[in-house]
Amino acid sequence: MFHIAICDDEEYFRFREKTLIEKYMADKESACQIDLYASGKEMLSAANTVLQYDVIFLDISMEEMDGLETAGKIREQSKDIYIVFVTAYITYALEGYKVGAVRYLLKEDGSLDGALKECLDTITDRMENGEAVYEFDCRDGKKNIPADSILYVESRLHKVIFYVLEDELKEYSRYDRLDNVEQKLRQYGFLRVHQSFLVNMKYAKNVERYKISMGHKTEISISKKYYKGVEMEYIRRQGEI
Amino acid sequence: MGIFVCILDALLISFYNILLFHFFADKRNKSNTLNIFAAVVLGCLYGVFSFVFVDWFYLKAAAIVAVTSFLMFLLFQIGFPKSLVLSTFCYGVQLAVDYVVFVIIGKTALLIAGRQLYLSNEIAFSVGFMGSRAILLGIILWTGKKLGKKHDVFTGREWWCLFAISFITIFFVASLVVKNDLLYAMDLSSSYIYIAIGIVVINSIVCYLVYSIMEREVQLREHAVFREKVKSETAMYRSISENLEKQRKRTHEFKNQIAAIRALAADKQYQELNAYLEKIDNAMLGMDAIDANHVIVNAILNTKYREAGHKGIVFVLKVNDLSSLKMAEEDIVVILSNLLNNALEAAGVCKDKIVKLKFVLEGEQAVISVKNSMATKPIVEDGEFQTTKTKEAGEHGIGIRNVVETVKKYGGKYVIDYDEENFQITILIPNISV
Repeated sequence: MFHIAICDDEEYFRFREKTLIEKYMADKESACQIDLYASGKEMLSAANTVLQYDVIFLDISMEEMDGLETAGKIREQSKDIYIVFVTAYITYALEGYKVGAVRYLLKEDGSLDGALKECLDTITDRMENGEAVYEFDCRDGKKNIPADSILYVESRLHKVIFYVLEDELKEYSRYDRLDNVEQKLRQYGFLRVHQSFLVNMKYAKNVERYKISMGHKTEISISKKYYKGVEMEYIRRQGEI
Repeated sequence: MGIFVCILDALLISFYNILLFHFFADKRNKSNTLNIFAAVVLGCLYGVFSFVFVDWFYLKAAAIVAVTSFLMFLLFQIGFPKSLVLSTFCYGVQLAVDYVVFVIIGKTALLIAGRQLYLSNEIAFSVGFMGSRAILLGIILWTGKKLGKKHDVFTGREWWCLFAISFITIFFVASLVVKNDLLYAMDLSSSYIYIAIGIVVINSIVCYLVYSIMEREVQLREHAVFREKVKSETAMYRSISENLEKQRKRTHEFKNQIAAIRALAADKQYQELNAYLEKIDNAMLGMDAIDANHVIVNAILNTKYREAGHKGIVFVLKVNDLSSLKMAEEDIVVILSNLLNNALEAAGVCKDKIVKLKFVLEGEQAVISVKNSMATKPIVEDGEFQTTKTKEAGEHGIGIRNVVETVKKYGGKYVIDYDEENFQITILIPNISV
């Protein structure tokens, strides 16, 4: 179920976007709920409303509070919501990139349909990848963690140790082989970089001189055997559009 | 021939092999001791083979080629198939030269001294031996110098040719030698000399042919690359200057518009004023839409954005502030216009027409990524993209090659992925000027 908000001060475009999204969702046989707001202020006025949305479509030029400012406020509450700017003028706002907008759509009758479809395709793809949950037994009992929040997995003395991003970097361990874990996690963008390391490529910050830096003060060696593949995957990730 | 000469010869040949490979590839390990050790090992193996396989000539040839190619594969940064080709080549040339030199010496000995040459005749043998090795060294140096530097333009087919020539030579000499003992052959009919000389001549001619074909290929390619560069750059600069011209007109118009607005406002004709503003507003729609804080990038992106619009292609853009981009303007033109031209062309003919571009500066590097939908899978031949354009069949995927060359110039990296429906190239380039 998709929760979508459309925020536009022009009624015509509010409904046009809504119709297009509903058509897209009907084609995909997905359920969705779409809420309409006439201004950013209206949407933000109720506490915690934005958190319920997966995707928010924002008009850039709105009176009182414009789209960029609204986006900034949304980002204060959540980093995960997909923000899509919809605008009449694509004087390409560099600020859009700063607030991590996923797309920038132009309100031209000819292209809006195609652009919206591509945009929703991308968001659906990313959401499917992000929602994966990895379930495993560890010494503290059964544990469900989003695959997304695992930074990397290490194998040490017949044990595998999961380094998970919670409030801080936490360790969970169990007796297993890294090969088994790799098989399950590969589909979520994990890559073997070393005999004893499996990393979540999503967090790769740099790959250089047989090292991969993962942020969170973590740097992991890459063995020669895996280096080319890891480097290529890293480049691929950088190019995600 | 004394055992000493035999060992010396084995070492010499092993040294020649390393010399030949040295022209074609870099060593895996820089340490000289290891290389000398490898040469000695190879030399010893040669020596062992010539004793063990003394009566099995074909086996000896196979063993020598196999061991050489394996050791060289370990020693140099070269693929095994190429290593095999070079080893075969080296051995082939060695055999051919040996054969010719000894046959000729045998003949001349007969002519000059009036008597035949036998194994015991050590002086003649040493002269022949030294002459043969000197010629071999000459051939190896020549081949290495001529072909070595340019071997990266060798296609798979050309490697096969080189292999075939060498293999046939070995087989030919071997069959002659096996049938008639080498020294015995010397006093046989002179037709053997002609055959032997024939082999050498054919070898030289083929080598010359390969070289001149390659030379021309390199020239052709450079020429084509140059032409393509000039074309895309001229097109881009033309569009940039057109944009500037428009801008100039607009600035001029702007003054008139301000005057008109001021007049309307002074007369308090607000309704007309609104209508007028609306009109100007609409006229502005055709203006440059994308602004990445970089004149050249803006010019290219806006041109291509409009082109995509005309072709009904969804153009997804992700750019950030590129004002501190250090890449040279002509290189930006080469990369962006080539990639976008290809992408728009491919996406233009398929059902879901989508082109996505990402061009962002992040930290110390620039990320450029272009992804497009397409109707036909690209054709890749010998690791090079071939054009699918039917009209301009001459320009075989030169666009991509130009891009890759430019990326390498900056020490950047790239990945190309494609399947039946999508093509994507991602480039990471350090933000430096070269």
